[in-house]
Amino acid sequence: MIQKSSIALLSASLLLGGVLTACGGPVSVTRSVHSAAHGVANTNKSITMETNGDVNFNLWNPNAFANSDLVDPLIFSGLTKDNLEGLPSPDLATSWHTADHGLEWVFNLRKGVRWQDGKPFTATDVLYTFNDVVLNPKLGANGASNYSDVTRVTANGPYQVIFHLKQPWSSLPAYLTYFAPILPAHILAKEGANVWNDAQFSTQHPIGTGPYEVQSVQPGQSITLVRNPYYFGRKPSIPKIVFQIIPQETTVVSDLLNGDLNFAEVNDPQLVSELKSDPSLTVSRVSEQIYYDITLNGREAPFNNVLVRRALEYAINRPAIIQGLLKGYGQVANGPIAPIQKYFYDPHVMSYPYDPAKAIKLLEAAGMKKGPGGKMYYHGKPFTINMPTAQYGFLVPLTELVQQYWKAIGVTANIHVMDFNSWTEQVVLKHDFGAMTAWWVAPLTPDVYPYFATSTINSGYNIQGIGNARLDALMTQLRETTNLAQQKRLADAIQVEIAKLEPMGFLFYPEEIDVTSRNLYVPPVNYDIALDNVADWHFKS
Amino acid sequence: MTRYVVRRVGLGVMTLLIMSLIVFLLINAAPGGPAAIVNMNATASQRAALEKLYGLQQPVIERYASWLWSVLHGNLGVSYSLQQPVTQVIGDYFPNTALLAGAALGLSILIGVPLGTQAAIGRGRWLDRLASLITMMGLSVPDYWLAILAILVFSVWLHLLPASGMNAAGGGGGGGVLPHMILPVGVLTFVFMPNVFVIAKASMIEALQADYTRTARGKGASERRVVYRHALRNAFNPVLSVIGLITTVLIGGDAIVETVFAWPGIGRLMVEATSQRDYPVMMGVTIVIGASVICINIIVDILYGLLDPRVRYD
Repeated sequence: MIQKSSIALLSASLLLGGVLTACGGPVSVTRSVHSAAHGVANTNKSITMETNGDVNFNLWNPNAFANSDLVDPLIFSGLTKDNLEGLPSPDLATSWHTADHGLEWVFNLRKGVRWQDGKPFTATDVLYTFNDVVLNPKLGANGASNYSDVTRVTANGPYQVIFHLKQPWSSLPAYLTYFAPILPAHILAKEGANVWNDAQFSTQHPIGTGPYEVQSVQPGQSITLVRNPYYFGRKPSIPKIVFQIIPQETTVVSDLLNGDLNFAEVNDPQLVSELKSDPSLTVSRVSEQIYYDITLNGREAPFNNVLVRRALEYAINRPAIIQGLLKGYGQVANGPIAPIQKYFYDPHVMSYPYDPAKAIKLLEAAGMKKGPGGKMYYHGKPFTINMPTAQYGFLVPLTELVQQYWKAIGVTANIHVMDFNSWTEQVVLKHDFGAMTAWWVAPLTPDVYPYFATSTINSGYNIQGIGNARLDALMTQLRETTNLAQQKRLADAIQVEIAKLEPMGFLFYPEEIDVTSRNLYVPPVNYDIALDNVADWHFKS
Repeated sequence: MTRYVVRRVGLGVMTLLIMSLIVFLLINAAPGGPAAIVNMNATASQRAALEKLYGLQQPVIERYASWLWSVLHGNLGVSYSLQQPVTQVIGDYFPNTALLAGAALGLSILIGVPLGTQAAIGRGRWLDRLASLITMMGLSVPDYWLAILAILVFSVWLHLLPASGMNAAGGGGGGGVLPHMILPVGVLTFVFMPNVFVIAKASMIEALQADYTRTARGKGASERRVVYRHALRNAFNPVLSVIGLITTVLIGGDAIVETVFAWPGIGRLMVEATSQRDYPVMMGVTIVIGASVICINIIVDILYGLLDPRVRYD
C-alpha cells in the first residue's frame, strides 16, 4: 500500500511538473510577448530598464554598488544635479556661493519640498546626511572619502546650510551632483549607528524627494518605480519605470532585441552590431568621464623614471586597441580630463603615439639594454613586470593586449588573473603590483587633485604614487578659484604638466553605448546625466 | 528502518558541522574580503570601521563559534549586501530554484525513463538511434552555450518566449511565471534528461535479459506487463540513483542557467554573494544546500527499500 501510494505520488508530481511546464506553451506566450515585442507598442506607457543586481536604496551605504547608482538618482535628490551640459544645477539647493575666502560653501535650500511620505524637507536633513552619516568615521559611508576636506555642516535657519572646509574646494557643487543623495532625518536619525541595518529603508521602502518613488521590490527580479506625487520639480512624463535585474550582458542585449527592455546601457561593444541593425532601436554613443590607463607603480624602480613610463606608453598602439576591443567606441586618452568636459578638455596636449622604436630608445636611455632573445635587460636581468589583473569588464583582454605590445619591445609582463575583490585588495590597497590596467570614473570637474596630488599617495587615490610640487600647486590653485576662466587656464596647465610627468599611461576614453526603443526619447547624454534629467524623457508621438 | 534513518540523520548533522567549519575557514582564508571593505573608495579608517561593524577583527575560530551558536538558535545572520536576515534572503530565492529544479527534474524523468525503456526494447531501431543522438548532444553541449542559443532562437528571432526573469514586472511583455520557465527548464531538461535516459536504457537492457523476465514471459504474461511490471520496476533502482544525483545538483541551483536567464535562484544568489564576499549569505546557502543534499540522499535510500523489497536497512 505504501509502495503504491508512493509511486502514485511520484507520478502525480512528475505529471504536475509536465503539465505546469506545458501550460505556458507558445500559444498564450506568443500573445503576451508579442504585444511588447519590437519595443514600440507599449500600451501602458511604462518603460523597462535593467540593473544587474539587487539595489541598496541608501547610496551612502558601503554595500551600495554600481547597480544601485542606476536606480537611486530617480528616488533621491541631492543638493545639486547635473544639467544636460554636465554642469552643477539646482536640485534641493537653489543657489550657492563661497564665503570666508573659500573655506565655506553656503547653499540656499529649496522651500516647500516634501519627502515621499509628505513630511517637509529642511536643513536638518542635510545636516543629518553629512554630519551624522557621511562624516561619521564610525560608519565608513560609501564615497565619504570624497568629502575629506569638509569638517562639518551647519545650518543658518531651516533653509540654508554651510559646508565648512579645511581648505578651499571649488568643485564641491560638482561633487554634490555625484551620487550624493540627501537622506530623511525623520526616518533614519533614530537608527543612530545602526543606520546601515535599516533593511526596510535600504531594500524595500526608501523615502526620498526625487521624481519617482518605489512601488514594489521583488528580490532578485525587479524594482518598480512610479511618479512621486510630492516631487518639487518638473513632473516626468513616464508614469512608471520598471528595473529588471539582469546580471548577464548578453541577456540584456536579447531583451533589447525582443522588446522587453526599453532603455539600457550596453557595456560590451562587441554586442552592439546586432542592436544597430534593428530598426526598432536607437543606438547612441555618448561621452563620459571615464578613462582607462596603465598604472605603473612609481614607488619602485624603474617606474619612478619618467623615461620608462613614456617608453611603455609609446609601445602601445592605442587606436588599434580601441578598434579591436571597443569596436571604435572610444578615443585615445591624453589625460584625466575627458572630452565630455568640453570646456576644459584639451585635445592638443602631448599624447604618446605608437612608436616602438622610440620606446626602445627611451628604455635604453633609462639604462636598459637589449639582450639575448631580444629581451630588454635592466641591471643585468630581463626587465619583467608583475601585472595582476581582475576578471572584470575587459580588463583581462586589455591587459593581454598590453602584454603583447610590451613583448614586442622586449619587455616581459607576467599576468596574474584574479577575482575583482582580491585584485582590489592586492593592487589598490596594498600596492603590490608593477603595472596594471585600470579605470577611473569621476565627477564632471577639472579638479583632479584626489588622483594626482602627492598628499594622496599614501592614503588616497594616487595609486601610481607619482606627483610633483608644480602639479600640486596648479591643482591646489584650481581648487581655490571658482572663476571659470581661471579654472580653464589652470586646467590647461595641469593637463600639460600631467602629460609631461606621465604619472600613468592614459589609454582611452570609452564611449557609453545607450540603446533605447525607437519610440522613447532619452537625452543623448551619459546615463548619470540622463537620470538627473528624467523629466526630459518622453514617448515620441 | 527507524534506527537507520536516525543514524543517517545523525551522520548528516555531523557532515554538516564539518562542512560548515571547512567552508567557513576557506572563505575567510581566501584573498579579498567583503566588497564594502575592499573598496577603492574607502579610506583605511573607513575599512577599519566596517571590519568592526561586521565583527571581522575577531579571530576566525571565535567568529565561527559565534556563527554556529547563532545557527543553533535559528539565526543565519544578516546579509552584508542585502541588509536582510539570511533566512529571509534564502526564503526569497530558494523556492525559485526549487520551481525550476522540480520542473526540469520532472520532465527529465517523464522523458528519460520512457525513452530509455523504448530504446532498450527496440535496440538499434530509429527511435533508439534518434534518442541516442539527442542524448549525446545533451551530454556534450555546455549549458551556457545552449542557454544563449535558446534565447537567440526563441526570444530574439521568433519572439515567442521571454529571455529573462521570472515575471514581466510591468514594462516589457512576457506574461507570468510559466512562459518565463520554459527556456530555463528546457535547457536544464536537455542537459539532465540524457543522464536518466542512459541509465534507464542500460538498466532495462539488463532487466529484459534477466531470468525473472524470461520466467514472466514463460508464464504467459503480456509483453506490456513483462516490460512495465517486471523489468522496469527492477530496473528502476539505478534510475533512482541518478535521479537523486541530478536532484542534488539541481537543488543547488544551476548558477549558469540562472544567471543567463536572470532567474532569481539560489545558484545566482551564491555567485553574487561570493563575488561580494557576503560571508553570512555564503555560509547560509552552503548550509541549506548541504542539508538539502543530505535529505535527498536519505529519501533516495528509503525509496530503494520501498521499490525493492530485497533492500534491507539492518
